[in-house]
Amino acid sequence: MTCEHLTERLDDYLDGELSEAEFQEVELHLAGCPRCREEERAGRAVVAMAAALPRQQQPPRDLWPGIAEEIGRRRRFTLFSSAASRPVVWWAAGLAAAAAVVVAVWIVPRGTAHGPAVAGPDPRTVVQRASAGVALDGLDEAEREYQRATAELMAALGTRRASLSPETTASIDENLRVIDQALAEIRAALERDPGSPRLGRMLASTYEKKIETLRRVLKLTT
Amino acid sequence: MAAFEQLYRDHVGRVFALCLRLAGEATLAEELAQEAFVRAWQKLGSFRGESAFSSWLYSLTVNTALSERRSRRRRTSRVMTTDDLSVFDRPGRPPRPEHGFDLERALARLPPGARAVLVLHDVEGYKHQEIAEMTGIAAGTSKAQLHRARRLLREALTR
Repeated sequence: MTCEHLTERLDDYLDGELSEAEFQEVELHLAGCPRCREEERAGRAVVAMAAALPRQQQPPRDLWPGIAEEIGRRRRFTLFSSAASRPVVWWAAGLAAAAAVVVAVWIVPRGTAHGPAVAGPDPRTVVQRASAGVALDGLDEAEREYQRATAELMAALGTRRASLSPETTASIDENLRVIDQALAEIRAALERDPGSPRLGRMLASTYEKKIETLRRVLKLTT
Repeated sequence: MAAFEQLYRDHVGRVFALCLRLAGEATLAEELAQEAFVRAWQKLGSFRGESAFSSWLYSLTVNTALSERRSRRRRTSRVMTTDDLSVFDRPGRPPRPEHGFDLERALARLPPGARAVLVLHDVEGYKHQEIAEMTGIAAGTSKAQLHRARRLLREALTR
């Protein structure tokens, strides 16, 4: 065995990964080579020191406040980004899922007798899924109810804007803009095809998502 | 959130030490440790309890640190070195007069790839196959990087 060969095998020797024959070969070389013995001694020292290093070290400052803030920021981002992307998904899904059956039950809780503004109307009571046909009667009236409900929630949000960061406010506004744009597109499509059950469902579903989004934003700000 | 804060308190020492050695720089290590805990919070749902939480967290920390290093390398295309090695001086840590050699400082001066493998293999006790799975390099590359790191440290030790 040459010195070069020993250098190549030194790690395996130190880690106990050599076969018995190779191990004996290395031992034999080390016995007769002071330079390689020094190399082996240094290598053993490095491995021993590395293994003895402390596994723990406290950071110079408490990282928790930054972690908590970042978790909160990403929570909001997730909420808003999902809200922003959904109208497109709803639209595509609505067109594709011709078999989906949704009954729009145009019942929206009225006024504030149903609790604080944060609670808002429960979308599940607005649109209920069932296995019946589609009722489009009273769509205009239902839309007015949706608009009234979202106006209430928007007013509640308006009173809390001052407590939000500019970035959060901008994010909320952007997402509401995307939802409103989807609503306008669906409304325009409904004017061209007033009897379309599919468009009626999409309109109801989009309003439902807007209300749900507003409620979640308001919960985050309380 | 209070429960997760307790997990942070229990594990931050080990996570920070790991980040510090992988990054070789204190400010970046703080950022990496913070990011590791944020990712852990985001991925808590995927923790199945098949391994200890600590193993899961440390593996995630390694991934966080190495992926950050890769993305920084893409952005800066330069080797990151550290100028301030005082971060490795811990209050109360005894000097090592028997060698006149500070392994932490020598580690921080290693090339990042070799340093990462040496930290994972010799300090943390991972096997080459585990390092390969964790880092995305081949097990043979892990062995080669360990060989390089140990050779550089031996040279530093005997200089």
